[in-house]
Amino acid sequence: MERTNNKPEKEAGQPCRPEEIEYLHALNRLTPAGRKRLLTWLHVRTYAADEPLFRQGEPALCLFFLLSGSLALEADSRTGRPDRLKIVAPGQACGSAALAGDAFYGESCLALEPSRVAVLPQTAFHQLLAGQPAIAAALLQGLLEETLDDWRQALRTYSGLTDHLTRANIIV
Amino acid sequence: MKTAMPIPTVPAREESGHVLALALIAAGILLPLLICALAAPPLFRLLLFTLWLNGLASTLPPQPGRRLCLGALLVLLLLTLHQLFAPLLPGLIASAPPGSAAPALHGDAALISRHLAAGRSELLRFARQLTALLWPSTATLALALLLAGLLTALRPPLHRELLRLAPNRALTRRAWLLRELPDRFGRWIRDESLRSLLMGGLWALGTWLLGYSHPAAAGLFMALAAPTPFWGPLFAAGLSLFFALDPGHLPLQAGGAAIVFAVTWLAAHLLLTPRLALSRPPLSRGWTLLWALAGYLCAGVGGFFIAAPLIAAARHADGALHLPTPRSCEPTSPQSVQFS
Repeated sequence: MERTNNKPEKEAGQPCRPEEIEYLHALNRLTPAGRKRLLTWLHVRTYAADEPLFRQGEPALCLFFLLSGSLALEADSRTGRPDRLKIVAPGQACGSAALAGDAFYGESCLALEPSRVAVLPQTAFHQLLAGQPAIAAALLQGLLEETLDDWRQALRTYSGLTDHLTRANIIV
Repeated sequence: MKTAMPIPTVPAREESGHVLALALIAAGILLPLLICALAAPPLFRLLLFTLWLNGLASTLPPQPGRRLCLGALLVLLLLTLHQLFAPLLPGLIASAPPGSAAPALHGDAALISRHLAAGRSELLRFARQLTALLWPSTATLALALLLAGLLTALRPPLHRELLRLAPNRALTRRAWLLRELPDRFGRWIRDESLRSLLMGGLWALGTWLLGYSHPAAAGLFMALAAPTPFWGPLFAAGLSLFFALDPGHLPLQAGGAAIVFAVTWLAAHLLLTPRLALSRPPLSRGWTLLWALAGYLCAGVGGFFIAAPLIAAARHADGALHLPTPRSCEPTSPQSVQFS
């Protein structure tokens, strides 16, 4: 994984540069002007390994775009050991619940290694929705595409596992 | 997993364990204002009006065009009302002329009349002090409008910067605070202002039609009491009886006042409550009365008026300071939301 953590100990956010958000999947549908508008609301944060970005059950108020490093999405389970749902790769977003209205994060997110993320507060999305709905719609479309990709992949994995178990006569 | 559960406007936390915290927050809100009011009344007026206008501005629609239009309309309305009422106000709450308390009465009627006159004089003195403390000069109002406008314009960059400066572990808490604090206070200030305006206006009109001696003062008391759920309007209506003409007219005017009160109460319920109910933090009637009486004991009539709004402000601040949990947005009992 790429490591660009100049100051991992510095906790406050840094201004976001245009080239940093160029390869974010969720912003694919945004025009350059839209990206520029969004950039004013974004800031970059660095998280150390094992540092949580958000925890399950917290109010969802920020959307995160991973710039470098890797993140894990985990959900609490009854066994006490969290279920790992997904590894977030650079370019992907997490915490989309922040754009779903008043909601709580449905899973915890923590950095697996020193990671840099761009943070978009929910307020920014609401302001865009009211003032520049085209940008908000493009952002939502981008996030929806990413979610659909995740969903397809999950289905594929599940279907492959079912096939495998059927062939092994575990499921008839 | 619950990802689409609505965040409650007020976290349903244990009430009894937070009385001390609420009292501390309330003291934190009240003390600076009190010191400011005692040390520099013009600065107090400026601060109060700027906070009030800033609260109102935070409830303006987010669309830039509509925001600008409504903001301009609000500014015009305020300046017009100020210019209209500034010369009239001293006359409207001036003391009753001597001899108006029916000197020909004897016995119990004379005693009641004397008590009414004494109470009326006391209330009018309080109203005059209050208007002297709160009524702003045109310059103060203009400066408050300017400051509120500036703060409103600077809010998005300020919000961004405050969020950016938050440490990683406090990001969600800071985002919650920055979202909730202006939102809760803004909606509450707007809704209580509308409620005060409607109830105060209707009550002043009603008491004027009934022939009360100081309908403006009666309306002022009703407007001040309207933010106190349930008990406030009742208390203000009771105080207004001191402005009845004389003991001979008292039963008739009290009966009329009961009808006007019912109309005012109904109007506030029918016009405002369905829209504004959520902005008022839930506080049981018993606690409201207790706080209001404590306020009355500490600071007289003024204490009664400010106790419940102060607790409501403290509860809003408390709600904005604490993150909710998914458990806290399970439906609360119907008794937790009370209307007045």
